[in-house]
Amino acid sequence: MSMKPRKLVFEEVWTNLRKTVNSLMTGKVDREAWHNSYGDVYHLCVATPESQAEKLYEATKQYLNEHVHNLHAEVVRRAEQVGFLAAYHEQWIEYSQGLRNLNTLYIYLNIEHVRKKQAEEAGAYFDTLQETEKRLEIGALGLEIWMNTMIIPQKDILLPLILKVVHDDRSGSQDDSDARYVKDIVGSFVSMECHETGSKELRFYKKFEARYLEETSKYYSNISSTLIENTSCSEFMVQVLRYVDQEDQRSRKFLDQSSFKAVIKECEKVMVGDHLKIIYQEARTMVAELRSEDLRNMYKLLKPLDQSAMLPVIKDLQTRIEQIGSDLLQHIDNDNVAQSFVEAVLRVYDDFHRLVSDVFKNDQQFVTALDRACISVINSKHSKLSYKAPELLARYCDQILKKGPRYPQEPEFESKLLRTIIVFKYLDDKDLFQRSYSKLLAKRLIHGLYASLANEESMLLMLKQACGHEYTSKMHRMYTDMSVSDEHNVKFAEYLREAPHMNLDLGLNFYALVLQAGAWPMQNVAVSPFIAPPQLARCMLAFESFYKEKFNGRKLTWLHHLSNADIRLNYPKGRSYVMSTSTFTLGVVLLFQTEDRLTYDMLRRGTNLQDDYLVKSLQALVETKVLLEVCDTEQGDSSNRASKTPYGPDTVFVLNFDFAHKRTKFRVISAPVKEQVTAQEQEQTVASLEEDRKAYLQALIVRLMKTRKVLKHNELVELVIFQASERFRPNVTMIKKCVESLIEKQYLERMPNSADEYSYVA
Amino acid sequence: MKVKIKKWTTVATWKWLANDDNCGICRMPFESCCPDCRLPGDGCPLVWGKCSHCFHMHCIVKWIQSQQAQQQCPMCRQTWNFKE
Repeated sequence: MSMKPRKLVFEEVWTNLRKTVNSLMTGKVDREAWHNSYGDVYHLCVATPESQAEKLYEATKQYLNEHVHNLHAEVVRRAEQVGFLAAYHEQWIEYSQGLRNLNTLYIYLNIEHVRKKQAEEAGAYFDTLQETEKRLEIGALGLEIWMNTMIIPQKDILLPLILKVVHDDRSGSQDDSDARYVKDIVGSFVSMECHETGSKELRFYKKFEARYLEETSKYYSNISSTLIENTSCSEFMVQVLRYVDQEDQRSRKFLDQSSFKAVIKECEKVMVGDHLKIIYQEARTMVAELRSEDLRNMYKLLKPLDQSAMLPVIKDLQTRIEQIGSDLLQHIDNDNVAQSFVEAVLRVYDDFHRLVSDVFKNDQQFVTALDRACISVINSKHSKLSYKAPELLARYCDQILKKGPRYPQEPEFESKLLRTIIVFKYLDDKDLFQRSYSKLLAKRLIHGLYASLANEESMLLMLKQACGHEYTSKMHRMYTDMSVSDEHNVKFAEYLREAPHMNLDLGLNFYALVLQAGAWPMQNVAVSPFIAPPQLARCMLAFESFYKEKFNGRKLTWLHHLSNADIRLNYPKGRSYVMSTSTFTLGVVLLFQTEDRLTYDMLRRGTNLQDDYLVKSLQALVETKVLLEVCDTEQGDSSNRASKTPYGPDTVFVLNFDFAHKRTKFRVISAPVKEQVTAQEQEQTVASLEEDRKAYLQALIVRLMKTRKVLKHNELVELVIFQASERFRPNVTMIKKCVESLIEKQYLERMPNSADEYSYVA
Repeated sequence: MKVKIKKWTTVATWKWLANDDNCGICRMPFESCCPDCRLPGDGCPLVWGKCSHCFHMHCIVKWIQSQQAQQQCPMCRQTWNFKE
């Protein structure tokens, strides 16, 4: 067959072609007829002297119109025998198959004629074109004709029938013979409007979908109203979830995928959204009784509704956590308050953390509620607790870091540490924790009470991670002072061996802990004057000159109240004991080297110790029977005892030469001198905390203003509160005062033309 | 009775012996470090000049390097010499 364009008579060719087209639309054609017809389409399109394409297009269109008309009549006729849906389905399947083939047969026309025309039309003004004049590819044309000639006239029969099938399916009707046609029929609506050149809008399908949704809504509105009246809320939720699931399956069975979401949403709206009040009412008991299965269902149902649907449940949960938490803290075990406190808090946290992650899938809203509740539980005042949360947590840390029965073993330590940090993160006043913690840390380090330095370091690292470098910097310095001191003492020993000292013997095993004054939380002056015994004074002098040589411009202050000594007591007849005790007590004992009998007043002058320290030392020595108190004969003694010191100036102490102890090594620990916390001192502590907080806030404000240059008052306050929350919770008045004083110091100024804006003064 | 001290573990604190509380260059307290350092102490020492003025070592070194002609103490304008 030649491809060359030739002259032909349209009517002759079309008569033949029409036969093939017709058999194609109603059944099959053989290969040869197909081949010839394919050629015919081509030749008509390229015919000389002019293309017959337009004629072919019109003729085909007319054929299709007639064909669908016939099919329509056929559907109506067959409907009486097999039912309308079956009849429609039958014809649609055949027609759509035929049409697909026809479109292939006309491929040359589609590409060379229709697409070119379409391009021209696109160039023309749209409003000058009638809808019917638009050229469509043959396949699309056939669909449009089907829509206009078949669906539109029959839609009032077709749609109710489909909806009835759906309704029957919902109510579980036995007769589901028509159900199998629905998906294809609905598919016909979609493909009708979905052909590639046509508009993407599914106008007809959307109308159908709207009716489908309306039916769905009506149906489930009824169902759920009856259901909620007749069952418990938890059963209701189970049923609703089942219905929603069924409806999801059903929409997959009957509808186009574009509708799946809309159907589910409608179901949820009608069944859940309309009964929220009852659900919320039940939610309270479910939260109270921790019915996790019910809560899980509730979460599934409420989550797809809008964001706020969950709020009442979240609020209930938060209130519940707070209540349980404060109940637990009300009944706290007073033996070890710190431990009981931390464990109680963690128990609440664990229970609800599990609930939030298992039931509420760690939903951000719930996590926030848990956090808020924990913050409130931990930081609110509880009458049973004599200490505040930061202090209690610091004590708990002390227990797990200290040597002793409560010190946990290695793997356990790691987990305890992590759990401590959980509580720590919820503290409001982290600066108070910092104070308490560093005081206890100092005690552990100075007296060697820590279980391991590695543990101390891990704890500091955790705190640093949680609160930043600055928060732990002082504590890190304390920690490093320990190893720095070790180095100093090694060097000091070398220093003593070298010239000019030439193996100077201090006569005792000396170790000095050198602390950086600013970093440690204790008073940096000695608490009581003390005349160091010559043996000790020698050491101090040697170390001071060593230190001065090594570090220019540093001044050492000795803190004797923190130091201690091992001494050997040599009794006549060869008995000897080693006694570990404080330096102050050592000073007292040394005075008895030359005298066997001394009065209180002589001891006082000999040591220069303050009464309270001297008395504690003497009491400890008397208690261990190293010294004996001799009742003085002077009158007025009893009145003295009632006064500030239990000993009068003339109370006599004698060495007990019959001293015996079951061990050769023992400790004499004097009771700590009670720091008499006067109201004034307490005020000072509060004031110094206040000062620290102000300084912190001012630095924060300056940093913020330096980067932002200009800020509105409210923005600044918000930023400050947010950033300061890693230390403490500042109040707005305090922030205002800080801003005022920064303006005074000319770090900031008010913007000249607006009252509530500040700018940074470079 | 004879008493012999076998072992003495003592505690001391150290402070800078400066005539002022703050460094005259960076205005930071001597107890804390110069603005370039994060940790005070051995890493950020103080130094004294022959004129007896005292600064963070880092501060005065920076100051001297930034001056082209004369190297003077920023407090008293005398030629800066480190005190031995």
